[in-house]
Amino acid sequence: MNRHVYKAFSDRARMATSGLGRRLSYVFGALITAIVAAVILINVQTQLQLVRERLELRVLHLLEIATEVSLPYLIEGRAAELDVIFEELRKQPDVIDIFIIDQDGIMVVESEEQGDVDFLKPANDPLANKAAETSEIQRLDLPEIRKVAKPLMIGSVNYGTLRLDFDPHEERSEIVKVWSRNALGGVLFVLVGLFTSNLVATRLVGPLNRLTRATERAANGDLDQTICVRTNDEIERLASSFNTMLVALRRSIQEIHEIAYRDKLTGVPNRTWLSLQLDQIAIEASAKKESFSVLFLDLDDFKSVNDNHGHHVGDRLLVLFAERLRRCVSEIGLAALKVGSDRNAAKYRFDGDAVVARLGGDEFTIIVPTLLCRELVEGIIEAMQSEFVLEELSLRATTSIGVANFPEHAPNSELLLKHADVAMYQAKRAGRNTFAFYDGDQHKLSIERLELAAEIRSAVEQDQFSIFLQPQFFVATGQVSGAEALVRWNHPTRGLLRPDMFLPVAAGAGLLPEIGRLVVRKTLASAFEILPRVDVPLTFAMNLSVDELADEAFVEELLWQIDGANLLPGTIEIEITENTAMTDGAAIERQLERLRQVGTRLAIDDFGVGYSNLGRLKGLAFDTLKLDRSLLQDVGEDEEAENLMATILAMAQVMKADVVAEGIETRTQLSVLEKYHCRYYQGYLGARPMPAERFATWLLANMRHHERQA
Amino acid sequence: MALKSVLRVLALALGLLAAQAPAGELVLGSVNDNVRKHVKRYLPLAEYLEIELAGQGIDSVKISVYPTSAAMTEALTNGEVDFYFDSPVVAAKISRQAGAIPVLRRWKRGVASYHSVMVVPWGSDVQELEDLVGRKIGFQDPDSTSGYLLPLGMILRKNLPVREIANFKAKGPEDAVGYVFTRDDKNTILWLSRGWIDAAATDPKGFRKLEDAFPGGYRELTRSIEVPRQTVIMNSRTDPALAAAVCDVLLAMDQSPQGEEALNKFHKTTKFDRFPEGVEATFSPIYQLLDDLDRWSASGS
Repeated sequence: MNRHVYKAFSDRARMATSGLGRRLSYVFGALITAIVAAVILINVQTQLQLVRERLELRVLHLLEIATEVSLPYLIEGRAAELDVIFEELRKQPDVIDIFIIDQDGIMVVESEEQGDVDFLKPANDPLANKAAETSEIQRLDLPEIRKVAKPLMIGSVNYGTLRLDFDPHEERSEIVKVWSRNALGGVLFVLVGLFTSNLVATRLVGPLNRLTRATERAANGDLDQTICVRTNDEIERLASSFNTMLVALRRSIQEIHEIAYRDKLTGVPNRTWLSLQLDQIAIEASAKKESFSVLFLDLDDFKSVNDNHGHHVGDRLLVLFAERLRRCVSEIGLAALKVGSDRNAAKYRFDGDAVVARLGGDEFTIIVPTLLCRELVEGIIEAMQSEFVLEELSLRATTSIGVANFPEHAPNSELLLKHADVAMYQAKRAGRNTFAFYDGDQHKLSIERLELAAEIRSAVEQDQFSIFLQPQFFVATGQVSGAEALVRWNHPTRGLLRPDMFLPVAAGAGLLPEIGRLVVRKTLASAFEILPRVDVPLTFAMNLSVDELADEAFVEELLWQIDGANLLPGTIEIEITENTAMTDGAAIERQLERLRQVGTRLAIDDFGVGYSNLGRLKGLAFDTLKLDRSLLQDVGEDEEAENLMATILAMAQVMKADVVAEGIETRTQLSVLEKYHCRYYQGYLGARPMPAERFATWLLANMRHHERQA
Repeated sequence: MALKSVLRVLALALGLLAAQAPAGELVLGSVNDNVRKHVKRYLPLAEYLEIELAGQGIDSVKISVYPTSAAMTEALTNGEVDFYFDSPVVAAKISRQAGAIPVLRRWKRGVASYHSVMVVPWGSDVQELEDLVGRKIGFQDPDSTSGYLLPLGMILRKNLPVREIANFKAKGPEDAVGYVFTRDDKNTILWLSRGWIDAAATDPKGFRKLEDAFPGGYRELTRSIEVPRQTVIMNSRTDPALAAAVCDVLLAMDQSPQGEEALNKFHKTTKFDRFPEGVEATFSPIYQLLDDLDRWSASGS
């Protein structure tokens, strides 16, 4: 069989043997079989009737012949002649036996079976008796034999009875033939009928099967199909309903997709869409060996827009920002996918152009071919130059953009987005309103800083910080005037860490107030312990940062602690850096004033390295200037340095401020300080910083030493 | 050889070889109008004899069938037939005319000899043959020994007048015994049973049939002389030594399987034997019968 034909046949067979088709085939087949059986039965009956009639005629003919031939001899009593005649008659193939019983019931021509033994004997044949009685032909039809008795009469005179035993084998074989022919015909008819019923069932069920397959395809997501059935019946109506249902289903899915994947505010794809599609985009790009970039955008200082103008303005700004981003995308010749405008779900997939998506808040991403990435980024920065016009309000807004390239910066979508985010923070750090490409090294540093910040947080909780006290001396006498508290970190694995190794990270992580609290508490505790043991007033200096001063709660706690310590005024000195001092802020000034009010001295630390505004310095009403070690490094050797120091000392005198020279390590430096009447010094020449708990012992020893000298 | 024999026999039957049997040849004769049937019946016997007599100077055994008794008589007279087989009365008649000699008795279907019986209904007032005068008796046919010759002989022996009636419906002569030919023994007893005739001449077998069908319904009025079932007549011209040899072979046939087989094929012959009472004792009543018949014929019956 031809393969195509076979396939068509097997398809049809499959169709016809599936479910309804099979049942219809069965029903049609059963109907056809029943009809054919009925027709065959009628046909057989008719043909059998003919066979019987023919055989009946044959029997009658035999009887007639026998009667005609035998009657004269019977009348003449010629039994011998009758024997001869009947011997001939018995040669007929369908004659089993033929004999004559005379009117007295005696065998005249005996049956072949008995030979001449029966001759002249009473026949005792009920059939013959009955025929003789009724003068009519009598019959007895048995399966194997047909017995007939015919009265032999002339007029009303009965001369005897002719008895014929007829073999109906011919009838039987005829019957068998009739049945065989009809059965064969019937089988052929049934086969043809079954084939036809199969065809009909296929015709009927075919459209249903098409519908079933269409439904299966629809279940697998193929809603872009229309089934065409022209049967002008319920099935066509069903197909029509199915098509209507598909339309409704497409609409529903469209709506569901819009809800699921479209950002309600801006109309661009949302984070869900991005998280679903970015993987696929990455896979397709890998397959095509193409690269693409993910832009991570964040509006700079968006929070203040919400705070200052309300969320409705912020939302409106986001909408305009999204539109501007899409415009930028189209300006570089790319079509930005807009979820919700496409007819079906398949179009929600990234198709190789750019896409603008909103991750949430003021965070947006743009997916763009790497080749066009820089052009786009610069276009966006440029576009942000113009104001956003929101009803009555015009706003200027900038954005920081982080860019990560696939596969250069990340091998998968998750990392890609994260790295773009990291890059965005790098852009933020770089001063905002700019963009940064992902930098792996920087990122590594950031990660280390993050880890360190986490460690610091943990160290605060576990009280791993301690204070070292570095004594400060009177230049003139060499006696101890006080000490500066310096924080140290007893790191469990790295040992004792100096402040420059962790404070910048702590500052970045906003942890300075936490550390500051510890320093304050420990310094006050030391002062409280030491001061009663010595009989001289001492100043304990602590460093505070802008962050700490800006922290209201921190300052409140500091004030409360100092006040509670009940120390002599001037015992606690707060050191702020020159830069901190120059920070323009009324709040800072107010806090410093409050500290002064509880008897705290104010020192300007590291003076001489920053950019001091003398007017502002004067306004701060500080008590001490701490000269940076860089100013004193060359004194005693460099005249200019000496002059500069002298000038500063003079200035401090004018400002009525004490001066502490930092970093004094040599006698020469000390002698210069004496020469110019600098009051205090601090440095290795006097003493190195020491653990607070050793300070008291050291101090007492020092004091005893001075007493002995005195 | 069998075919050759058949052809010769046929030629003989057609009278083309109507010459005396040459030396080395044995001729068997029979009377019948159906040549083919008779040749076929005699052939097994002829072949057997040919084999058995090969050492006796016999080259071939031939069969000659003659249509009438007269032809047979003539053939015997002319020496064309050596041995002739027939029923006793006919054989006696021919042998007397031709000077031939009855030599053997031939058993047929196990029967060595037989006789004829006259049967009347049990209640008939016919008590002896004489009572049959004015009544009808059924005879078989003119050639039947038991159905005609023997019973007629009994009536003639009693010197009773006998006259033929055209059919059973016709009224019989009042002064003679009327007889009607039934054409068959079976018809004879049928007719008697139906009362169409007053007495039936039949053989013991026919009587037994009646007895079987109607036990006690009929009785034997009288019976004829006993005659051999069949007889073998020898041509007096045949070489006595050869004749003796042939008789020896025939007598011994039932002793061998081949002989028995040939006998059986020869019209159910059981065996051959010599006449127990001798030829004279057996044949003189038959000759007497023949004389009576001749006289009756001469008297114009």
